[in-house]
Amino acid sequence: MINIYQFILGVTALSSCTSIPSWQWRRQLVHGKYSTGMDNEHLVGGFNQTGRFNSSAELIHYVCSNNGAFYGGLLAKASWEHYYTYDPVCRFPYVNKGWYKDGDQNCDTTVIEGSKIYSQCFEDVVMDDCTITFAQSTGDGFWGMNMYDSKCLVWTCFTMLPFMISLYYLKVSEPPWCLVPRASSLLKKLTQTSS
Amino acid sequence: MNEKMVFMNMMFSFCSAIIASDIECLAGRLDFETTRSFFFALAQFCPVHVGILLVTAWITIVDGGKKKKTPVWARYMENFSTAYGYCVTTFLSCAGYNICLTDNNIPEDDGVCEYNHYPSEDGKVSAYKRIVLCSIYVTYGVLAGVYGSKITMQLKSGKGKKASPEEKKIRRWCYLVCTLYMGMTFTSIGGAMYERYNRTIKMPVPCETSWSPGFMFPMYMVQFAICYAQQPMKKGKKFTTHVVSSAFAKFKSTNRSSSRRSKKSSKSTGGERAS
Repeated sequence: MINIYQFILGVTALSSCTSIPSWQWRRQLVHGKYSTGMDNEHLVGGFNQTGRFNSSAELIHYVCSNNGAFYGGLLAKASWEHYYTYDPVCRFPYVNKGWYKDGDQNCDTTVIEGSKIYSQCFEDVVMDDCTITFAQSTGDGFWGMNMYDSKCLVWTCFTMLPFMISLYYLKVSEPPWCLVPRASSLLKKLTQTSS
Repeated sequence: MNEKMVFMNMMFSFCSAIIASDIECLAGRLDFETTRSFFFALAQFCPVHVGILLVTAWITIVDGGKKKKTPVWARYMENFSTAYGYCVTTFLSCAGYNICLTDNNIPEDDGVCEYNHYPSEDGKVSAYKRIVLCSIYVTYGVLAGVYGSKITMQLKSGKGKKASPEEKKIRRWCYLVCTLYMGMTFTSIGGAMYERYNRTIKMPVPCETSWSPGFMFPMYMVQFAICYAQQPMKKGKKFTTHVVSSAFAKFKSTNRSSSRRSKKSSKSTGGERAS
């Protein structure tokens, strides 16, 4: 199973080498107090976190509670303007060191003022340190992997099951377009005629 | 034709497996701007392609005459729709994350759509992609409906030749595919137009995550549905029916033999006791 997963990861890595050239037409946003004021080059240090927030608690409150990108969502008309003025703290898919279950596996979430603020899981967040991906912050999964990678492995195996079944169908139905026996018979014929 | 559809399902599964290797792109193995949107667009069009192949096959059966030759217009339409679907949807999927046309209807904040710190899909480009898909859904949905009703007319009139059980089965499938395509059309129009039109769809890093696969589950269901629909026949039965009945028969035989053994052993033990 792991071999299939590694194979898929290999294919993915190869395919990601072919990236689209930089013809992006986007400009950068600047929004009031929490504006990043930084460009895409600032990957490790995050987007001016110490300049924008007084403490890690303020940063977490901005990202995860009422001010965050998840408040209201896209279809809630009252809040979609806010949805578009949210500025992230790290470049996707990176998060601050100590985020969620990084460094503390058994942390718990608490509910304060009707909205989740994840107080226990985010106590050890380090400002200006976006060195881990979100996947690395999801805690332990199985086989020594993190939870996100384990989830991906499970669903990769699930999606490969119909692939195997289809392959078996092809074997059962003996497709006429199977090129290998045709090619071998053609080679035989050619060698016979040449001799 | 059946092998072609099985192959399409294999391609669908392969693309889904690649997407599943980094479902939300949170590990950095895939990225929304290139690989993820490319493979997602391919995976999205594979079941549609299976539907196109099915409808073309039904057209061939109904209009193909004795030789069962696909009409030229159906062949051209199939080739055009397939090429158009794959090329345009994959291009627009990738373009949606790389260009900016929408303004999110926020007058006081000019050019609010642009964002380059985390992936965001342009609302207008996404809508165009859905409209392209819609045009294919509508075309083949209508064709499936028309050919379904043609078979119904043949069955009702009953002049000349009688409809075979194969035709009755095709009629049922025609209506099913027509309904599916129309449902997909309305879903796509809903996604392309109303609230989502002219709105950038953003994917920021979440605060926490769960084991829930999200959109992967419906994809997985479609894969298995296609697998079930395309199963080959074995000894005049569907493959799954054959497997289940043979497994049941095997279970019965093992059950009988075990009960015989137990009877024998009870007799022998009874004999021992008697002796």
